[in-house]
Amino acid sequence: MSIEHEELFFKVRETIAVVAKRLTSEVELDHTLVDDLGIDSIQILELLSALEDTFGFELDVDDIRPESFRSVQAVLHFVERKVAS
Amino acid sequence: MNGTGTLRELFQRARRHDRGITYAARSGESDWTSYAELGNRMDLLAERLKQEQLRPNFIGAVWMAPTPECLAVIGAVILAGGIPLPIHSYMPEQDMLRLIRKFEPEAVFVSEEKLPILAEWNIQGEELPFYLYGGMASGPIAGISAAPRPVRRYTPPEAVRMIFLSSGSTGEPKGIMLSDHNMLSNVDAILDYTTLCDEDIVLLSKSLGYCSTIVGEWFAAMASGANLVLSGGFVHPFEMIQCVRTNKVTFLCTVPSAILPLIHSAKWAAEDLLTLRQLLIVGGPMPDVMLLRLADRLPHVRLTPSYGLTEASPRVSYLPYTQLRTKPQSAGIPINGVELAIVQDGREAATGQSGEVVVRGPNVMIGYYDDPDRTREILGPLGLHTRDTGYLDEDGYLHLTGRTDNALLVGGHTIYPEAVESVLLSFPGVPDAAVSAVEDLQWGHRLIAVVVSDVSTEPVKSPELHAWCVKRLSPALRPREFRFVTALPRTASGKLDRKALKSMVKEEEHVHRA
Repeated sequence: MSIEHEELFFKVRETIAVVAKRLTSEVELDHTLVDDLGIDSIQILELLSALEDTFGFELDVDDIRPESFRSVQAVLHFVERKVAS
Repeated sequence: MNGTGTLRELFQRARRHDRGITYAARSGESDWTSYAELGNRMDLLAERLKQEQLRPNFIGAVWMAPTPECLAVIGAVILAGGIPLPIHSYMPEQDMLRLIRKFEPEAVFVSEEKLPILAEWNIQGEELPFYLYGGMASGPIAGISAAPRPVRRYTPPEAVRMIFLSSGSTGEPKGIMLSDHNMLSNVDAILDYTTLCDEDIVLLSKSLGYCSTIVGEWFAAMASGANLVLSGGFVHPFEMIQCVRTNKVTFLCTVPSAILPLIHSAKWAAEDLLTLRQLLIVGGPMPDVMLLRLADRLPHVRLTPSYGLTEASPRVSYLPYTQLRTKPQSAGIPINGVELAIVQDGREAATGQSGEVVVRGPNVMIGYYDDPDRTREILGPLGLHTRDTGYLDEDGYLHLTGRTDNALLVGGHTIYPEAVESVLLSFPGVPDAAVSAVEDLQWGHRLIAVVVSDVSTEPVKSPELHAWCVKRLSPALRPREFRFVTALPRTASGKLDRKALKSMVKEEEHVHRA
């Protein structure tokens, strides 16, 4: 993992942890948002706007696909893609 | 239709081969069923239900994922002479057990993915006194033993055709009993002000446990011959835009929280919603500034804020599009056949004077299930007492100002803090707790739990309380923040001082935001 990648991963975990009301250390890459972290539909929206604020991108209409927000890994991929573009 | 006839007749009549339901699941999967085919499925299951020789007017609880199968089951219960009780698919399992005990349904229909929950209840020794159906599949289900109960404690009046659930101040849901006439008169009035027709495509995305979804979208679409698009619900309003675009939706009914994020985003344009012709906003007031901003961005769409409550089957009033810019803060004028009055101290108030909103008309419910006291309280000689306060202006337009009880609105759901408090108090180590709210631009209210922490034991933490709530409360009822105090504000008589609690929460909110 490169330093940038590691930093990004940490920031994604941190953002998810705040929304899920957990410690950052409790958020693992293979965790699912709903079943493992107990994130509900209202918190998913909070998470999306927190990601926009933290990483400075804006969501596009076609960005929202259920599979993008299934797991921590999926969110990380999503953020990487948005940041790169 | 003139509000006459029955739902059974509607299901018999509305069987076009060239109109029907597109099932657009969140997974991207899509499937089309004509109303004729849906009717055939209803007939098949209704025949099987008749063979079970269930009591006339049996209650059929429907706890299913929002699919065409769920609609077919509701229709089949009606065709078989029963009373459907639709239950939100997301209803927590403990609540479902409580509902079964309260309503004693003779038949329970669940989606396949819920069967393990019932098997688990069986293992725990829970009695399952009903015929159980895995959706439309009948017969014994492996691993689950369920047998119908011979008698019931309470029998609904003959005219009851459906029962809807609504939250109650005690934490126990109320069963709102509606007749054919209640619902069909409301369908007529909705068709009248929306001018829905068989060229329309209606998007149905709210829970099938709501009267507003069943009457205002499903029945209204069937009665007008409009096509339906059934989605499993959306998490983000961009998903709604995708669905409208893909399925060429013309008519949509949604709650303010589901569209407010759109107003803040510059990433979509009116062209994304080009097919949409009418957007009904229900389930709570939309801030007038936001409503007008949305109207500016969607000049081709008739935005129509509408007001109602399940006890009124559900629609009561609507704001005509021609008045959107002159009265954007109003809940509008009564729908056809319905009368509105403002009541203060047992008398009708004058124009401009505030009081409780009272509704009269063919849409007013029969009563609450097995609750004559509460029914008497709310159905008075002046009409249905809505518990909403407001006034009528000089043009007869309704303006809502608040509530006569403690209810809060979260994303279109009416929430009683008492229901959330009982769950918090059941957490081991919480000696006292109360729920209040701060205003929230998107959700209407943001629930805040104020929890007394017991100094003698290990302090309770937010994540533990949140996890407790996730298991026991549906998302809208979960507090979004937990604050810890040494004592709750109480009146001299020891009652919780909700006013003081509210200002406490509000003051701290300023500190938090500052």
